Amino acid sequence: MAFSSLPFIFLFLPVFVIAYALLPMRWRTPLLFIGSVVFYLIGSWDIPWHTLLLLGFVAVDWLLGMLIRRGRGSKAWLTVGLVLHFGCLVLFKYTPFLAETVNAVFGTALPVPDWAVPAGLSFTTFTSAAYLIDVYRRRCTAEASFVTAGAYLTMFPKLIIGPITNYADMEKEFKSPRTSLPRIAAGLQVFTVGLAYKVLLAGQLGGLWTDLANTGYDSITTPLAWMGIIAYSMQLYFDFYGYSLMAIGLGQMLGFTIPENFRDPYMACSMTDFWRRWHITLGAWFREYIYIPLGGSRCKKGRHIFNLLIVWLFTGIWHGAGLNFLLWGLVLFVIITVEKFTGLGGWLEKHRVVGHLYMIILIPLSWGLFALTDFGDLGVYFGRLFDFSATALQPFPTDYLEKGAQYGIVLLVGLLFCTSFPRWFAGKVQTLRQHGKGGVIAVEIGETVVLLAAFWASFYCMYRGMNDPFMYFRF
Amino acid sequence: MDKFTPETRKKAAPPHWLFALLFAVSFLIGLPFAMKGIFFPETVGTEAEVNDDESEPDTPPTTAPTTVPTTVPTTAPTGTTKKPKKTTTAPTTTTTTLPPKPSFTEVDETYFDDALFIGDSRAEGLRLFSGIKNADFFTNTGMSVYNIAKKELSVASVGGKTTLDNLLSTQTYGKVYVILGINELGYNFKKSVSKYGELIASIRGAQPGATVYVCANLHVAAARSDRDEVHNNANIDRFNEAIGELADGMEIFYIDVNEIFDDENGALRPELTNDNTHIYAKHYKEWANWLMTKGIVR
Repeated sequence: MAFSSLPFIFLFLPVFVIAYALLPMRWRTPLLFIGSVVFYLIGSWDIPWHTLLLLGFVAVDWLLGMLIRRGRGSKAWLTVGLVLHFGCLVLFKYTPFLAETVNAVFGTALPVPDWAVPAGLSFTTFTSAAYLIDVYRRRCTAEASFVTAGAYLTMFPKLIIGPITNYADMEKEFKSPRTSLPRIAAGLQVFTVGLAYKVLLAGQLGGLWTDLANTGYDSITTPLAWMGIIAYSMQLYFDFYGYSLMAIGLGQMLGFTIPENFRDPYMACSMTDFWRRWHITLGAWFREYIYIPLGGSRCKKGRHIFNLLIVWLFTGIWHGAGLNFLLWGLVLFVIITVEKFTGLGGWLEKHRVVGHLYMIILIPLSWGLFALTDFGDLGVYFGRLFDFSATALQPFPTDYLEKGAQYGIVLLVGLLFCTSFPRWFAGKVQTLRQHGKGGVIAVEIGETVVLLAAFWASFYCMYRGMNDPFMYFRF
Repeated sequence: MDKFTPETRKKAAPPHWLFALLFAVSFLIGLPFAMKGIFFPETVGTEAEVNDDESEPDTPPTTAPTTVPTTVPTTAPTGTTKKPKKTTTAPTTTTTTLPPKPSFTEVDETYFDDALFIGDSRAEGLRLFSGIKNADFFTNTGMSVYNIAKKELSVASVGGKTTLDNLLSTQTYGKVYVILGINELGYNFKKSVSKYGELIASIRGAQPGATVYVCANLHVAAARSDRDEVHNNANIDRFNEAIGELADGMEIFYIDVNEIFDDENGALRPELTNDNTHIYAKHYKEWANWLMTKGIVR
């Protein structure tokens, strides 16, 4: 079930939140566990054994956590857990890709599996791995209650798309999950902002990228190609940021602090800095469980570079089972290594104008590698970006003007929301709130009006999109 | 960190009561619509939402028509492509010697000098990518017989925005192509066909000398047809068949471009499309070339 869907907002969420609020505290964690499993089951209705797999892993993690904690053979138990989790991830997510690649390279005819990857597997694998490793390192306790462990591992705010959390940061909250009307209201506000980002910004911008795919990348002009990849870059950000905000809002409603996942990434001046601001919890996971154990930066230069290579290749392939994702990871590795070892990164952060220009070029281009999974398409699209005429098949010469007219407003609004403007604005609102009673009332009214308008606009879009996969029922 | 100091915490109260109250109200207002959207999604955004006074329920046929209807004119007397012109002398007999029906002939791009294309996103594709530069296009994504009267679009020869009525009354066309239907599939079938007929009649009324082409709607690819209850080839064929009956073979002709884009099962070939609904831009040239085999020269 997507957060930005009518069944979630009008059926699941109200029923769950009302039950959660009315129940005494000690029943909330069991309710969260049950509710999250139901949430997952509804979302995976066609493939019910995925839910069994989820429950199976909860049992495994709970059991292994306690076995690791016991001390004897803890490393072995940890290894068992990690092999099970990553083995499962490789099996479901990467075997089709591996089989295809082997077939392509060696001309073999290995069967290519055609199964559906369990929803959220990439995230739950990392969350569980972090849990087991943290128990081993004694960074958190092994959760003795199966229900609490289950609630943590499956909690629906972060089950499908993260953020990736550490149990150490949430343990205490599970002991006493608090909620109240003020908390629910505050959480709903954050949820609404996330919903608006996802539906109003990402949803609209996605239309442009879809249009280009339907036209055929060989039939677009160079300006439109740039417009498209910039729109994609914004869509990707608003989609993911919106979801992360919704997760944070939901967590807040239930008494949990879900960590932030984005910090104005498009304001970074270097790729290194970008990846400290984008999908923060993923970067933190790789740093904590791969980079630092390998030696991080506290080793010889050659080893340092190797460590970076491993992290970025794995980051790439984590995002998708495809050669383009590997290539994307590799390109990021090259950029970041150059920034680190030539001092370019530091220089760019000091000369921020140049830094911003540098990123304005690099961000869309790097997302191009990410977005286009077919190498043929990739070649054609980059050909259009740099106007290699051999790739052009009679594009409509002023297509960018027409698309500009159609998407201009949402592109400009999108650009504004990529800057620090939202954060600055929120800060100003906070300041106003502190200027006496008048300030509080003004802020309350203003916030309410804006957020309700955003909610209604999002509702309208979700409603109209209900029976039309191409949105708004238009061809 | 400011919000954690005692004074600001006090000042931050009341904790969003206004928002909570109005959100709850909004939620309750939206709830019936949400329920409708969740449990009856096929009624969203269609004419069924607005109370239709058509008493007969719309039930598409259970079996798809297996052949694409071809109501193109039957073969004209060989060698004759000209339609007999109205003469000033009265006919001497009332016997039924019907004028020979014109047949399609090959033409070149100049054929489109006095052409008007009316239609939806597929027709928009023709405007953008077919290479036909000399015709007028009154086309728009989302166009249907239900909204066409209100549309104001930029048309080349008018040099600004115009409605269809205004366009038809101020310009003279030798041929008018109508490419509509896919956006009507969610609406009441009889009403859609009837409104389509009205559109054709109004075009004929405004442009008595023009050849009218009733264009069959492009099929969708099987991947879409198989899972879409509304936009599937059975419904498209049903609509095409109905509008095909408007053709008389003399002034109004039915042409079906699916003959160049279909696979062996009567669905759009999957390699021609990304979204199973629109063909790639590069294929509109083929569409244009095919149109040039459907010329009517009087």
